[in-house]
Amino acid sequence: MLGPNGAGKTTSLRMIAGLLRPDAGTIEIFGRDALADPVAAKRLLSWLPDEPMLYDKLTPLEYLEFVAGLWGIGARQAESRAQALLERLELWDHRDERCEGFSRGMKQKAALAGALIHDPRLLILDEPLTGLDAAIARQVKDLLQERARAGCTIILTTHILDVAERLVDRIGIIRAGALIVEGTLDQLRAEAGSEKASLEDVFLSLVAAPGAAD
Amino acid sequence: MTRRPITLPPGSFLWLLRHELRLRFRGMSNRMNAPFLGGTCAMLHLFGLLVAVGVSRMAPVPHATVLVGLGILWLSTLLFMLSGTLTAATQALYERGDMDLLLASPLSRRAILWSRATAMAASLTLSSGFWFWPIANGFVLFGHTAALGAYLLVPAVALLATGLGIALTLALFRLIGPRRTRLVAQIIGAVTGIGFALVFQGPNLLSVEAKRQLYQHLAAAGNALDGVALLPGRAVLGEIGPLLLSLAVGGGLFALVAFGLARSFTGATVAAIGATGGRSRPTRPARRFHRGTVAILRRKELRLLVRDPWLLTQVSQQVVGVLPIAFVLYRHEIGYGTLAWLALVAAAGLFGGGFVWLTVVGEELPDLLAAAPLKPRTVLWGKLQAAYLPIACLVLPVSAIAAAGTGGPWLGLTLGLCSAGAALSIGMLDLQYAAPAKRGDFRQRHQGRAVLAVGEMLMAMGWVGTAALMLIHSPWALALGLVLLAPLPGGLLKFGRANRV
Repeated sequence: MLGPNGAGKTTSLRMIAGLLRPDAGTIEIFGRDALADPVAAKRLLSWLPDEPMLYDKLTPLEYLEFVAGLWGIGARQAESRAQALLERLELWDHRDERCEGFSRGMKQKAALAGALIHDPRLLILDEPLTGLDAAIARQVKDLLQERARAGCTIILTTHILDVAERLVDRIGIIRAGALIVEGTLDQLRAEAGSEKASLEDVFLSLVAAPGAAD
Repeated sequence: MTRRPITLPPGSFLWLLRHELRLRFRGMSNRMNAPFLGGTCAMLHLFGLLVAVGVSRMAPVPHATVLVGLGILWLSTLLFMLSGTLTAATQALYERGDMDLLLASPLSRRAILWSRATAMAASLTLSSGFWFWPIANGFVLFGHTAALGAYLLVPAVALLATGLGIALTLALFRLIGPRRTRLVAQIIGAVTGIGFALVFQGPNLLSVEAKRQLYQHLAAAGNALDGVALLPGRAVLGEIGPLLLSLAVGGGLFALVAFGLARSFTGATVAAIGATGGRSRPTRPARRFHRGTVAILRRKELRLLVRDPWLLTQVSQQVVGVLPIAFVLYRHEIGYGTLAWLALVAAAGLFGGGFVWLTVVGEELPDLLAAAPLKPRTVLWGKLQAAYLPIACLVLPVSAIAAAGTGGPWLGLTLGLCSAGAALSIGMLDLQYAAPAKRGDFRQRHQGRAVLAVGEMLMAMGWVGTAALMLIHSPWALALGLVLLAPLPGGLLKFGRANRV
């Protein structure tokens, strides 16, 4: 999901995650009405904001135990998943250190592990790569692609258009609270009338187009 | 015509000081309105006038005794201020705030510490002067012009306390390292606060006979002490020489610390990063994961309570504030030995308020909990369990010990019931009326909610009173207890409606 600052990307994601109630309309998550039965819908999804959601005074392992408990994952299963995720994200050696001493990238990885601990069918990520160095960004992208290949649907917002161009299957552009266009990169190029344009060119031409949101 | 702001050279001491003072007092102007300040000020003037009238009608007291008594007042004020500066100096080291920005700027370390320390002293002067100066004015109105000396004495003691507070914190930092300094400084701050409360309220706790003996000791001390020991008393009395000497000593120590310890202070600030976030902090390895959502919620909250760095200071300061007043109120009803047990009731109540605030109101990640597939009531239930479990662990054994001792089962039952009542009613008060805030704002949780702060204190005192009444088998205990349980239905209603939020 792309859009200029203030377009409503985060607001949309927060509504899907059940943190905000929309004024109008419906939200369905894999056939479940998220407004009528939020608990059932929330079971299927995970939300990761741009600022890592972590308790500074907990260790990554304690945090994962807590998040797994919130989603009702059994202790044994949660334990093995936590170990697998922390090892995959190279945090296992830091499992008993409090998160307050972690770097931004380590915090983001620990928070991502929390978002994946209950194996969600829908993963909602708000600016997941902001502030990460190249190596950690690569780890995160690899993990997301693995999850996508395993059948997880991922919605993410980003301002890094190169990432969007290479990582995602479908792109939606939002402006002033409205989805102005949605489709594959080729479909967007066609919409913008330029078949060889980069995503940046497509984005700028669509967002700048007068009345595009109307 | 528009008012032009006063321009100060950027980076200068005054420029930095203005920045510090603006940060310290900006929040305060939002919290207090003019009628509140004016009303309190008028009341304090009236109180000062009444004290002046009372003093003028007292039987003549030997001058030396007066000097010793006033010296003790000076000492208790110094202890009170020292308690505040220890906390402020520790915060300056550990709570990064804008310290990183200042240290990364080309400003000199000396200017940074000088301005920060001056702001600390100014803030102490104004907050203490707010209480002392109107009382001094009352004396002046009654003809005791020497009381004007309070306008010099309060800043003098504030400068002394600031210098001592910073020096003591840095000494601790050097002696025991950054990890332990925060905890030890908090304990010293709390003990100093208790010292202040005992010195200030001590005479009120004594029986008539004990008080008479105390005055005899004071008179003897007054006669035995030499001139230097009586100087603080003379300064409080408004004698110009001792006043100027106080100012010179306070200002001298302050300047010595602000100029001499600038390098140590900024060095300690940098070193404190290791204790607060710059370096990973190993924790006892986690054992196996636990089962059950509520159990896991409870466990997480208990972990965070145990690891909260400011909890100790906060609650102990509140208990220190409540106990002496409560003891003074009820000392005639029951013996002192029994009265000491009632500290448990006040502590349980204030812990109840603090823990409910920390677990429920100060949730760090409300979005995480909101995004989880849980009913809000389940979350609240787990959090309340975590808030009340440590209190039960404190109250039950202490009540059992009291019951097994000379107090008998009735004392144990009284302690158990009244502690539970206090914890529940103050906790439910916080649950309903506390404004959501970050966990880190625990120490400032009553800002802008003065009514809630006063309510907590009154409830704690009320429950101590209920316990005192129970111990003398007064039927009024039931009535008072029921009144004090007033926040309970509102809290239960909020709990019942949690799922609708």
